[in-house]
Formats: sequence, C-alpha cells, structure tokens
Amino acid sequence: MAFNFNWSPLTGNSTTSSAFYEHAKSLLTAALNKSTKPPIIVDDILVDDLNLGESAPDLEILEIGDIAEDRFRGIFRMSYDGDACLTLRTKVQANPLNTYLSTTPSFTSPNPLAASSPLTIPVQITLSHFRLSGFVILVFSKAKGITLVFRNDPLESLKVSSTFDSIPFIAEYLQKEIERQVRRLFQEDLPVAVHRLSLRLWNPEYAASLEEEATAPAKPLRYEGTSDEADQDPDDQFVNPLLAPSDSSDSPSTTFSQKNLLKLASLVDAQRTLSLETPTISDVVFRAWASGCYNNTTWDRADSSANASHTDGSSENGDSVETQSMHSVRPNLTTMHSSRHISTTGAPGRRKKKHHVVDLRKKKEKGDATPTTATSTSTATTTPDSSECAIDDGFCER
Amino acid sequence: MLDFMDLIQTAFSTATHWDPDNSYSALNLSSTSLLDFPTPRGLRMHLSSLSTPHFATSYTLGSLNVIDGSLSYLYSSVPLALSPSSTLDLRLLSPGYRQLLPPSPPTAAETLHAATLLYGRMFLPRGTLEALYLRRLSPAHQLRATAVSDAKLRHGGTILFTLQHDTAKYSSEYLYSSDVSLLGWRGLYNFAAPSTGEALGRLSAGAELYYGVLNKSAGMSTGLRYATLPSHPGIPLTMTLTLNPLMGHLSATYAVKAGKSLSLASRFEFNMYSYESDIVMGCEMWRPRGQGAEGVLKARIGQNGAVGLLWEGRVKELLFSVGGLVDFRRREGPVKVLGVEVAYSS
Repeated sequence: MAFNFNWSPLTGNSTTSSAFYEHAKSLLTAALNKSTKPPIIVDDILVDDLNLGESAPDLEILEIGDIAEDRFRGIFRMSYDGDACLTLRTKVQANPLNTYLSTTPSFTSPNPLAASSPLTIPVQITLSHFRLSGFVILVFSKAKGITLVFRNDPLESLKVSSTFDSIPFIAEYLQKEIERQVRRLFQEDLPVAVHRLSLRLWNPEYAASLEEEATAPAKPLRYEGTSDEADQDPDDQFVNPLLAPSDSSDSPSTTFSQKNLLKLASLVDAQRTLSLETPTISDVVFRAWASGCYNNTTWDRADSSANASHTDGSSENGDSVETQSMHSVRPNLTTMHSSRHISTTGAPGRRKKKHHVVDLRKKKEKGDATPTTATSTSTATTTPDSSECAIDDGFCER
Repeated sequence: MLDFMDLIQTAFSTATHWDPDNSYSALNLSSTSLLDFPTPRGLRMHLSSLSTPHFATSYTLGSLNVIDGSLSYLYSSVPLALSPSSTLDLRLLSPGYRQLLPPSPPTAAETLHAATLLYGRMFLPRGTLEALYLRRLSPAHQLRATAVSDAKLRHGGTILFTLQHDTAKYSSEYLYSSDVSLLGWRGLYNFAAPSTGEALGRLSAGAELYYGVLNKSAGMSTGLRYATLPSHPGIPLTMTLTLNPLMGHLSATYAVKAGKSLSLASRFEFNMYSYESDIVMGCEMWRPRGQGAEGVLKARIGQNGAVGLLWEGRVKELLFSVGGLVDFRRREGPVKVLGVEVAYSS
C-alpha cells in the first residue's frame, strides 16, 4: 500500500490554497495568542506568512489498526525535510528593567526615575528548514475528522532567523527559546489545529461548536492580585437538550424512540448472550456530534473493564453509576457500533459530571422505569407507556 | 491623595529632620504630582487613627470586582503629631508644586539617635504582607528596608534594602533587592550658588544606575533640574530634563506656580530610536476654605485625548477623593475608570 500526498493544491496559487492558508494562519495566530505571553512580548503575535512548501512529508506505514470506507487508523514513521517556512511578527520590550518591574510588586520596587522607560521594538521571526522525524498516530474518520498525535518529539532541527540576527547573544537566545516552543507546538497545539481544520471540511456543525469553545478568552496573569472571575459554566452549551436531565418531571423516555431503545437493549443483552446479531439503529444522533467534547483517540482503553463497570452499575437498583469510575465507562452507543474505541477527553475541569440514566432493564413490574441522574440520589419515578428496558448512558467526563 | 500612612512617614521625616526631597528619585516631583496623579478605582474607604504619638493604625476597605481590604499598623520611636481629618491642612494631603528651599544639611539632634519606624500592612483576602523598617543610623545616613511577602511571588517574597546618605551638597543611595539581586545606585549633586549676589535658583544634576545580577539586566538614566528659590522675583518655576541613553528616551518637564491657587505643568517625551513622542499637560486649582467644599481639582490631558480628572477635598470631617479617566475616543463609552475614596482619621 502506498501513500499519495496531493501537495499541489497547497503549492499552486489557486483560490483553494489561499483560502486554506488564510484559515490556517488565523488558527495559528489564535493558538499562539491564547496562552499567556511572557511580559517581554508586548503585542499580539501575528502570522505574516505561512508556506507549507513544495514537498510533502515522507510517511512509512508501521501499523494499521482499523480501516474502512469512512475511517482509518494507523501508526506511521514520518520524516520531513522540505522547505516549509513560517514568519511571525510581534513587538518586544527592549528594556529588561521595564519587563522586570512590571512583574514585581510596587512596594519593593526601586522606583527608578527614568531607567525603566519602555522601548518597544518590532521584531520579525522566520522559521525555516524544518527537519522532522518521528512516529505519528493518525486517525481519520468521516465523523470526527483527522486526529494526529506524535509519539515522540518530532523536531530534529530548525533554523530561526530574525531582525536580531546581527546580535549573536539574542539570536542564540531566540533559537533556543523558539525551538522549545515549536516542540511544544507540535506536541500540543498542532493536533488540535489539524483536527479543527479537518472538521471544517467534513463536519461544519461540530466544527462550529468547537470554535465557540476555542474563542473563550484566556485570562492574563498580572501581579495586581485580582481574584479570578467567577467560573462560568461553559458546559451548559454543550449539553444535548435531548439527553439533559429536564427540570420538569416529564418522562424523558418520551423523547427517545422506543424502537431504538429496544434495539439498544438487545445489544446490551448481546454482551451477555454473546449473540452475533447486530441490529441496525436508524435516526440516531451520534454521540460525538451531540456532546461537543474534544475527542482524542487512544488505543489502550480496554473495553472489557468498561463493560464490567457498566454491568456492575446496572445490576444495582438502577439508581446511579458510580461517578468515580465514570471515566472508564464506555458509553454503550459507541461500544456497540464498532470496535473503535473513542475516549472523550474534555479539557480538564471543563465538564461537570452530568449523567442521565434511563433504566431500560426488564423489570419485574411492567411499565416501571426509573430515570435518574447520577449526581443526585433522588429518583423520579415515571410511568412511560411500555418501557421495559433501561439503558445506562454515561457522558464524557474528566 | 496621600495615604494616612504616607502622611505619618512624612511627619516622621519632618520630626527627624530628614529631607526626602533631596534625592535623585525626587528630581521631577513637582511635575509628576501635577501630571501623574493616581485616580481612584472603585469605591474605597479608609479609617485611620494616630492612637498615641508612637502608634498609628489604618484600615481600608475597597470594592473593585471583589471586596478587599487591608490592615496596617505603624510604630515610631519618635513622637509624632498629625491633625485629624477635620482640621488637616489639605496641602499636605495633595502636594502639588514643590517649592524648594536652599539646601540645608540634616541636623544631628541627640534625641534623634537611632530613630526607627516600623510599618506593616496585611492585605485581605489576598494574603499579601508588606513591611517597612526605617532607621536613622547617623545624621547623614538612613537605612530603609521594605519587604513584600506573597505566595504568588517567586521565592515567596522580595526585600529591598536602601542605604541613604544625605549631605546638603549631594545625596546618594545604594540599593539592593533580593528578587533578581538587583544592585542600584542613585546620586544627586546640588550645584553651589554663584558667589556674586543671592541665589535665585537651584541647579541639581543626578544619575542612577541599576544592574540585575541574576537576569543580566541593566538600566541607567541621568537628569538635570533647575528650580527657583523663594527669593526669585517672578513666578516659581521648575524645569527638568531626564535622559536614558540606553533606551534613547528624553523627557523634559516644566512646572509653574501661576498663583496662590493655580499650578500648571507640562511634559514632553521623545524616543530617539523609535521616534515615539508624547506630550502631557496638567493643572491644579485650589478652592480656598470658606467657599463651600474646600478642595483641589486636578486635570491632565494627553496627546491622544485621554483626560484624567481628580477632585480631592474635605466635606465636614471626611476627606473625599473622586476622579476618573475619560477617553472620548473609546468605543465602549468615554468613562474608562471611575472611583471614589473616603477617608477619616482621628
């Protein structure tokens, strides 16, 4: 099997390539300015020029984990020795005393008369001659776009040239510092950017919901000691109204299709009976689209542990699944669909543990369903029409 | 408006015959108090008292986003006296134009031997602690140590030592800060009056040097000041010129006391490397006692239309400070910052 990179749309001067570059530049600018900048940088970091070069990276396939028409996962060895280049523009503070005094408390400041007067210098930095080599795990799915993660640090060498090239002390400092930041960029920010770009191509609604999440402003750190603003609750916009616990005592089972619930119940049973029949479920919303979490694929999450904890949870009185083990519980929708394991890792502290548990087990008493939320111990008993089955549904947590 | 504790420290300097204005850092004090006056932000209340001639306390409560406050205590080995807020001279509270006197050396009274001042301030709920220790080592030497303790700082806090040496002719200060092992030196030299006739003005020149050992940062500046003495026939004026050769920064100020209740100042700044320039003009007008609320109105305007306004005065027994920053070019609305401070001291 061979890999064919069609790099020509990026090299030509067509409108697709310029549109792609514009969007890529804006994503990269947002990623660079999101985290708190060191006080020596006084202005935003802007991307002047981004060029992915003429040659594509070399990919050698090491392992293929899953392949189908609409999804793919594999491990590659990647090496790149092309002429991609990136130009950044920003303003730096040239007076180190000014930078130092802006971060110290004013009570112990030496209060210089004019020695800390500021001088901002515009600086332009060009990164070129990237040499990358490393192992990359690539997952592609039509629903969730492309996810690529580096197993090790891929950056071998890189050339930094800037407006300070004539001053060797500063040029060396810049080279070291930027290499460090680029390593961090490859490990952390590049997978996010590629994921969003690919989603924009294949799944615009999901991409839009992720972009809302991304444009939440970062809070800069200054010594005034101002307390943090009250934590807003951004989770609410990501909760699927279908699956959210409703305040009213309406039966939530009326919002689910009974046919699908029965099919899901039979899938649950299939884990116990080892039946090979997989019913098709139509008119469902993919959990990945509904939840709006940032997804990362991991290979080493064993499903068996998830099932064990799930069955433990459901064999109780259907009250609540333990919240401690929620991160290892695979939601049934995805485990039943395919052998692909998707673990959802929201940003830390982003999501509250919201569970909506609808008990679909066959009860002794007919027409008795107990939908509960895992976070509360009260059970609201409702009597839906003909529910005999229950399903435990866990949400993405962490 | 000067804080109560700042007023106490001024009273301490007066009681120990130490001139805090004979220092390089006070070179353009007239223009900075007329042009760089701080405006209050949010609502803040101060309650202070000089309980005994040796002990003073002050409590503040403020609300800007969150409610915060501070407690401060001061001990002085030298008895101090300060009028309560109902009778305090407002010119002490908002010093504007500084009229310089002919330089005189600090006196060596026996009772002033080893005069000390201890000050501590605790900010709540931040949990920051500030401390100050002042000790007069000899008639011409004073040691000052300030420290801040805060969990958010590197190493938990910093301490700054300053050794001040003051004779009438010149003064020098040696600084050491523990943060980045910053070493500093400041010096001021007062030129002698011309031998013929009476001195009408005072010329002073000074310089400062800083070097941070740990972060290899250095800074320096030099300055020149000409100020008229009370014997000058025309209106009192002060002109200063400061230069930072490393950064190419040049700053010239001009301050005059146009009348008994009006002072004006202006400053022009220019950077020789980046060609950035700035001009600020400011004034202060006093409303004398007996005409309603007694107070001072300060105003400044910068070149980009940013206006700062401040009114400080006394109503009944409370001292008020109301002010804000106004910027007519702002999209979100002209008023940028607004604040009120109320102080009471007994």
